[in-house]
Amino acid sequence: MPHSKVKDRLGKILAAFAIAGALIAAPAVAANATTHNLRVDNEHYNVKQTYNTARYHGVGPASFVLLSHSNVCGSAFQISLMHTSGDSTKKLEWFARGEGVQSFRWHTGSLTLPSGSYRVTAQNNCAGMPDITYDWTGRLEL
Amino acid sequence: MKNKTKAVWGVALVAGLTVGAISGANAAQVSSGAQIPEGFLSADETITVFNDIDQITDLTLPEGIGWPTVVPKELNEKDTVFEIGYIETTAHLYWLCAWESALVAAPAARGAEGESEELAAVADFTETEWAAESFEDPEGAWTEDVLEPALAGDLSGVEQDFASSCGYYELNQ
Repeated sequence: MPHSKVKDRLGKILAAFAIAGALIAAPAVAANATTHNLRVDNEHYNVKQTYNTARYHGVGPASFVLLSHSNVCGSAFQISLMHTSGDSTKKLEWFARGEGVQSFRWHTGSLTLPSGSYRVTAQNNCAGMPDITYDWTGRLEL
Repeated sequence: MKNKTKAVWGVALVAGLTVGAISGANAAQVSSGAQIPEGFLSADETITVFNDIDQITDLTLPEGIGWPTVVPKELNEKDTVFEIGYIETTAHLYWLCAWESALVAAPAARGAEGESEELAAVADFTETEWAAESFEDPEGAWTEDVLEPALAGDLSGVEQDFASSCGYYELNQ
């Protein structure tokens, strides 16, 4: 086989691996996901704040990325979604903004969230600073 | 729309209950010592609102169905606070489950034009003042998945929505 054909074939194989790797690494997002841009000012440290807005989700995956945070305080910003049933996703955590998109896992571990309405719960612990507040923004694909 | 007039009383009642709950919790804290943020209630205060859930909206449930009495399990979580209006959202989602259940149980009761009290109530879900403020579905996925098929006589979307979303409703029956 000519050297150039071997290189071509090798290139195609490497490209296939690269695409497969990118697909595996990419966060799972439903084809019909809706983007919700979230912005919260003056969230309090050390309390888990659950919001009352219900966001509908057809069955499938969902993801979140923390776009800005005024001070994660050496701890972690945590966010989860609570379903109408009262069950929740596992928490996602960011120790700093810019850590990239993460996919939610249902409490069973599945990346597929059941359909229904979800309410957002967010928390950031910060020892010794109970009365200080922080601001955050993020993009929820639901 | 009937829900507009109902909403006036609903808002007044929610406001009254909320003010009462807040004024009774002067500088309240959660167990971590953190103060309760403005616009939020402690779990105990939210349970107080929940105990009057039948008064915070003027929504009508199907005949024979009562408002929930089982405290939602998330209200027992330590150091969690809930945005004011949280129970109003719970009430509307419960109300939808009640009418979805009634619709699935009585499809034969529909009239010649496919209209029924149950279908009309389910169709009202996104028309309420609450939905305008506190239900986000910008792409209309719920309408597409659940309501539109039901209006065309296909209740599979309603059945799926009920099966996926109404565990808390069933817990109260």
